[in-house]
Amino acid sequence: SEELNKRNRILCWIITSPKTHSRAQLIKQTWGRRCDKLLFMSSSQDDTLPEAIPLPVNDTYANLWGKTQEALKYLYRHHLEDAEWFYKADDDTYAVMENMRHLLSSFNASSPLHLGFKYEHPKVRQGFMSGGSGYVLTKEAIRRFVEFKNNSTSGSQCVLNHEGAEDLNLGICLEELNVTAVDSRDENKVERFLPWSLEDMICGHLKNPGFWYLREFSYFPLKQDMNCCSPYAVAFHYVKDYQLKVYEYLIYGLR
Amino acid sequence: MNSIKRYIQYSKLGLLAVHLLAPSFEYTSININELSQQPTVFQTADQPVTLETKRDRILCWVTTSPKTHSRAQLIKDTWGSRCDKLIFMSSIQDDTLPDAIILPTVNDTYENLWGKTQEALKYLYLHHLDDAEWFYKADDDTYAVLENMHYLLSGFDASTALYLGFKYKNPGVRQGFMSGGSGYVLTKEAIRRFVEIGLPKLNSPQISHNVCVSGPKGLEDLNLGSCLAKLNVTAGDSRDKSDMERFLPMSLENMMCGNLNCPENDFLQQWAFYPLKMGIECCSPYAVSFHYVRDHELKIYEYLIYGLRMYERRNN
Repeated sequence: SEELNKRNRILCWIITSPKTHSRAQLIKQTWGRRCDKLLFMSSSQDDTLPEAIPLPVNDTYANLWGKTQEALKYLYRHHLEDAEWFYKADDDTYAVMENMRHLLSSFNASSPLHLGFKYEHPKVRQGFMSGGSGYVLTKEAIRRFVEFKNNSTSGSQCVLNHEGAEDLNLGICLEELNVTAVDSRDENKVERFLPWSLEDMICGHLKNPGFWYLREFSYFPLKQDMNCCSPYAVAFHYVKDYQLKVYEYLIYGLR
Repeated sequence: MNSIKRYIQYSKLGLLAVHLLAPSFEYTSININELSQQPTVFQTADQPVTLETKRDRILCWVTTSPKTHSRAQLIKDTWGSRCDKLIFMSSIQDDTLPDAIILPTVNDTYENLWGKTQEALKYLYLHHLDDAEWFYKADDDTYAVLENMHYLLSGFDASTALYLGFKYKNPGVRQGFMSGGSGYVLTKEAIRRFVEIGLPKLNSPQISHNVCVSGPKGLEDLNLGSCLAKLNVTAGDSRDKSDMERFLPMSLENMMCGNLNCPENDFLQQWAFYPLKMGIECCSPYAVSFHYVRDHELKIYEYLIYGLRMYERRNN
């Protein structure tokens, strides 16, 4: 099992921003320490998060795509040898690393792969991964993306300015680069990456109908209520601030 | 119809009070249902013998109100199904909760919570005392972990006069009293004493010295604690071997608050009976109940505690 770990190291890179550096701290204290390597991508360093990697971007939601490109460039230059798998998460994500390791162990780390919660979209035939619950890229996937960036061809749909939906754009680019968007559901076809809050995943169909419409775009059919979410879930989204500690306690503390 | 029921209940109570003034050994006997489930348990006239593997039954009674009957249904769908018996006490029945037990004469307000508790205990005494060894009261925004509760209770003697919960200190109650919020557990004997000895005096204005606070108003948990203390019901220590609390009175976010300033926590720190740790050490790995778990959060807790599985779980 130790050998398995060596060949399947996971580097977690968390997208954060100066306003939410405190959440980054909470991730460090909870699930972040189960990553083989943990990096925080922000736009500046400060006392709350002195090890934040300052990327040359404006920290707004509109510039998220630009930030992601910078982050991938950074990983390519400095960390490609530190791991086989690269997991991107937001600072309001809670990941269950043991379950992630188990999921990844059934895939080939040397292939160009992209894993996460899949959405469908007319521009991406194989679907793209939701940014919210995070996604995993292999070394090869990152390599292709960054090297393509340097030699982009015409006729490409892969748009590289700073604005636009981060997850959709990444999905479009990776499809052109022949990076496979895999199916990460469990044996019972239940999702493991959970892009909305657990409350919405479990009870969303009971709440406001406008929200349910997003589900139309999930690549695979979604199940309702307690069947929504795999027992081997790897990531939860919209887990904010002290909720991170609550999850840590309920998942690892409580017997 | 209601008034007739009430009359019958009170007259039953009167009869019972007359017949059962002496400490009763009836409740240590094993009833016929238990015998059929566990044929190897023997009882002689003098000494009931119980197998060590016999598991005490827990009856859960959840206080709810018409505005929050939907929460009651969620409890039924989640942790409530793990109680040996589950009862909902409310002030009306409706389509959302057709099996609610209606308690008489009580306006469903927070001020009347003490009155509601008295009625509830009376109801349990009259109808359910043989259905369980332990009686766990919860609010409809509580999430309980029944397996851990069985584990906690197995370390205590169900035939004694005992109650357990999150203990607060109070100058008027030397042994402390249990928080109503995270729920508390009573033994049969505790309920018996409360109803037979504590209560009748409540309704007898000519007796000047009341064992328990009379009338429906007042702080439910404090009044109960004060009353039980006078009846020599022990307020037990439900912490685990590392002195961590198992009944958690504040929301988990607040309990985890740690180094940030959470104003509710000052109150908790000041009035907790035992020294309280905050942050991730606040709460026992064997916690039995969480408070302020509302509506759909009940399903989240159900999923995170019972649904989620771990591959190669490591010890922290």
